[in-house]
Amino acid sequence: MLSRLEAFVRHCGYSHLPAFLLLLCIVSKIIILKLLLSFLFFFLFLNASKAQNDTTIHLNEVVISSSKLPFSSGLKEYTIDSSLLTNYQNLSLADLLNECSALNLKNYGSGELSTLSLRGGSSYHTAVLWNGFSLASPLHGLTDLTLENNFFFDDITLQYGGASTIWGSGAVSGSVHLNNKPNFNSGLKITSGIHYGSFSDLTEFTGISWGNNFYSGSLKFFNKNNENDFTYYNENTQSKEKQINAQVKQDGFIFENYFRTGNLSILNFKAWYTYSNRHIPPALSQVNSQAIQKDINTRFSAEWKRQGKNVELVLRSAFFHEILNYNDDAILLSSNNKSKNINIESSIGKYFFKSHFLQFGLNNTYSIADSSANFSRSTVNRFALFASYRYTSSNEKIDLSLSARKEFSSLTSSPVIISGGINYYPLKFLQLHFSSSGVYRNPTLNDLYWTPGGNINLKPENGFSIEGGFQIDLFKIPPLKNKYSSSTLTFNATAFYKKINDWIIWYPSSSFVWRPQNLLLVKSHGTEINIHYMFKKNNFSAGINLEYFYTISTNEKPLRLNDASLHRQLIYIPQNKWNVHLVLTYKSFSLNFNHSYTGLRYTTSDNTSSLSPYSLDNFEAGKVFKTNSISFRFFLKINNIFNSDYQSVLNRPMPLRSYNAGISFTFQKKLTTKKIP
Amino acid sequence: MKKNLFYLTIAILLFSCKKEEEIISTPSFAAEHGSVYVSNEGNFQSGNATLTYFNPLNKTILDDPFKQVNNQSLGDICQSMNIINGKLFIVVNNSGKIEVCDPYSLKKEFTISGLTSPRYIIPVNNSKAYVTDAYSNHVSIVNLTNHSISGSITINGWTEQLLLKNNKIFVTNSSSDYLYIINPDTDLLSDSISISKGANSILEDHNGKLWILCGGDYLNTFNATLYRINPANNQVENSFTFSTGEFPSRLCINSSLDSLYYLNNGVYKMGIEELSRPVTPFIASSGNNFYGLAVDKSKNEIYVSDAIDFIQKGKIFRYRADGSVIENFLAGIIPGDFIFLP
Repeated sequence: MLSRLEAFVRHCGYSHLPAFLLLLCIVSKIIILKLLLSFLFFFLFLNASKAQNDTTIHLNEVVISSSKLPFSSGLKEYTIDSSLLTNYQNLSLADLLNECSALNLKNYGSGELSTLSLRGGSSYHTAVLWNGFSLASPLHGLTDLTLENNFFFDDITLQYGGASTIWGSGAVSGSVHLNNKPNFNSGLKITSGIHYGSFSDLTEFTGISWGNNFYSGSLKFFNKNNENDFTYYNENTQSKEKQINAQVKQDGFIFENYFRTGNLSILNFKAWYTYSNRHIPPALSQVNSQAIQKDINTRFSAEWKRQGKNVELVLRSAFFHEILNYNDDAILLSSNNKSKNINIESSIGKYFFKSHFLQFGLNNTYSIADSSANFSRSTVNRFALFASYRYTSSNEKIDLSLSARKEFSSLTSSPVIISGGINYYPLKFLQLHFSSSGVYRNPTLNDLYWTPGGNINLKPENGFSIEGGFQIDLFKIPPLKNKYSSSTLTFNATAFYKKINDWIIWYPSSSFVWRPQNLLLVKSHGTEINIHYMFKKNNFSAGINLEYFYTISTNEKPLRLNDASLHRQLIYIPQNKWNVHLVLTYKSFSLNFNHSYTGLRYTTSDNTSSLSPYSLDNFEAGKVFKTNSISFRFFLKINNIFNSDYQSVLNRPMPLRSYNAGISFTFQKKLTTKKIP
Repeated sequence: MKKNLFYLTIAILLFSCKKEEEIISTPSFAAEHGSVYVSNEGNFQSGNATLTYFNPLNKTILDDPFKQVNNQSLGDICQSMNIINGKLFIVVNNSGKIEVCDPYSLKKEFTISGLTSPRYIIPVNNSKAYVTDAYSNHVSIVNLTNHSISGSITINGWTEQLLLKNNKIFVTNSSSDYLYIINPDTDLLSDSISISKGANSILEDHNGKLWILCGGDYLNTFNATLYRINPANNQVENSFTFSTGEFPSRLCINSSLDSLYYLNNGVYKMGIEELSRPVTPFIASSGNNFYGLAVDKSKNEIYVSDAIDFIQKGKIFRYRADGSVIENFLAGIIPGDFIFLP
């Protein structure tokens, strides 16, 4: 038995896990399959006509007011609809954002590295935060969105615009918030699913949560195995070829615990583990590849929060341990890079005269890195003080916020940065918003300590961004109000301008030694249009969300005498990008249609070479069968319907049309006991 | 009305001109004697390596003639070129291959594939060539008759330029502190000479002496050094040490084989009989990012490339033997090597 177990462990690629995690993973695998089968069996005996049709899908609109994120007046915010999260449980965060937003993702291939850029910024300029803690690697500063699976999060919110005063380093162009929430009094809930698709892509997931009045807990598992041997068109050989060395294996779990420690306070502990083993396929101009990348991330967080009528206290801490292991036998390269991040934060906030709220806080982030090939243990400690203020007028016509942050470091410190924003509602259907923010990004540990080249005298990238715009709720305008009572139509237009000084790039200092330097000055501006339409009548609903981004981002400081990049668009930033998502539901049946367009992206800084624009169209159809406590959902998805042959990154092929089908079920048993008031 | 008609005519004329241009711009390619190919490395894994053709007589510049002729991209990182037995050998580093073309038509005749990370190729005799490699830990032996790899000679580390002299192959190795010597008859390592680290270029002067340029190492434990070695007895005859923080590269020699050139931010010139290395540049870099250097021995002209920011088209500067500039032109991304057609 033991040997069989061992063989199974090896087969599943779990040999890297400590024993207890291993057991959890195996149990989860068994749970997923058994539960699925037994519930399917059970379900067949149920009367399908019992099915209810409360499965309507709503598309969330872009929200500017009544922000969920603190001290963010004047900034645009978009929460991805929870029903989309449910329907797209098997997708990575990268694929989800590609479906639901017009954000600019740079993807090195299906299942490979995927990074995000917004408003003409670099991949380092959009902070990805897990319950407020930045996921950017202390080593290289990037967040790979392919590694994060959206099944683990209860809420995904995108914030556009700089917010470094609130989120710290990296929130320069925007931020992505991955949040978990407690489910007090929700009873028992089990969710499980299995999805299978083209290129032997198998995804399994299961989650169990339980909550009464004092405790709420949730444990979720995720597992993905993808051969990823997709077919693509190779221009060089002028033939269709199969991708090689592209297998992806991923698994992980998230464990959350929330305790009520009083009428007004909650204590929570979270643990999140992800393992990924990706083979790195060759670029089109390479013959072969033997490269393998492993990412093993273990993350813990604890938070105590007391939300009184007048005073708000928060104490929180996080510990992240990340391993990035890269092996390429072809070039005899084996590198093992480890990093740890220890984050402690506390804040105190107080209300004055009901409409004023003032908060002070401090944060300490200690980062340790160890890069087997290029530097031994290196550390950096950063201490920050921050203060924020919010005002909401009693007639709710104005809300504004101001915030400031100052960071101290054992290395070069950042200056005091200040931000402010305002939302103003002159009429019920009209909102005006304006915001101005100081922004910065710290150099990474690689930037500071890499041998050769590391530069400990680097300054943080710094600058400011301003934006302004308006939003009209068309069907709230008096004459239209009665005519279109079953619909909503909102139109939002926002313009921004951003300037970043001391932009860090690696560039040879004296002849051939490459080192990071504060060299560029980048100015960006652009316009963003969001249109949201929703119609609902009887059993039918329709929703359309359209996002259009126009972005100009240019280097304004020549590196050299003959530098032709001056005033030219930065590489990999499309001037035009849009995304349309359409949802139709009828009773328990739903259709999702998604169309996105990515404009021309330059691949050279002098703008002489570029990647062609491309469109992608995806389609999904799903049906829900539901009884009182159980619901099943079946779906079929077609990706890249029109076989678009495209590249997100030069020389990195992407898959043509592919299919995906799956089933997921949810069992829910509400608490029978009465809630304690 | 008349005016409109005039504009219309102009428009039609312009339109038709453009069309004609398009037709003219794709003639069959034929390089002329005395012209030059610049090899542009391109970016790692981007597959945008190209050649640029330049004819200094009629100033013709052609971007990526290889693709135009062969309807195929050159590949990933074009490291170097050489003419062997009248054929142009183009070493495409990260594609692990060497394209063999007719030097004048650029028509591809063979591809030597199966290499790991090739850097430089030289002929050993009429039927055999050696190829150095960045990662494979060996020098590959290429059979020039059937264009296949017939064997390998183990040398640990990143091997760079190599040279044949006195029936000995001298191989530079940038990751070790030795100059290696291979016996081409036996394909075996026969000897090594202790030098500094970061050896990147080797050449022979008119006295038959070898010059080796070592760039030093980035940790500054080894300083960059220029060596003169006697190939008869494998002895170091003279050495010129550079200051810490200097990383010279691209050693070249003029047509009379008595003046050395190398890059050290600017272009430096040094007579082979001089007793100390020059302190002021022969051609100052003056704001340029000099990356490649070559001497057209038939005209005694100096070509220097400027890689600018490494992600845009680089610039080539052409100088007379006295260091005065003749002209400049745009090449491809990261222009690194040059070959002058006889």
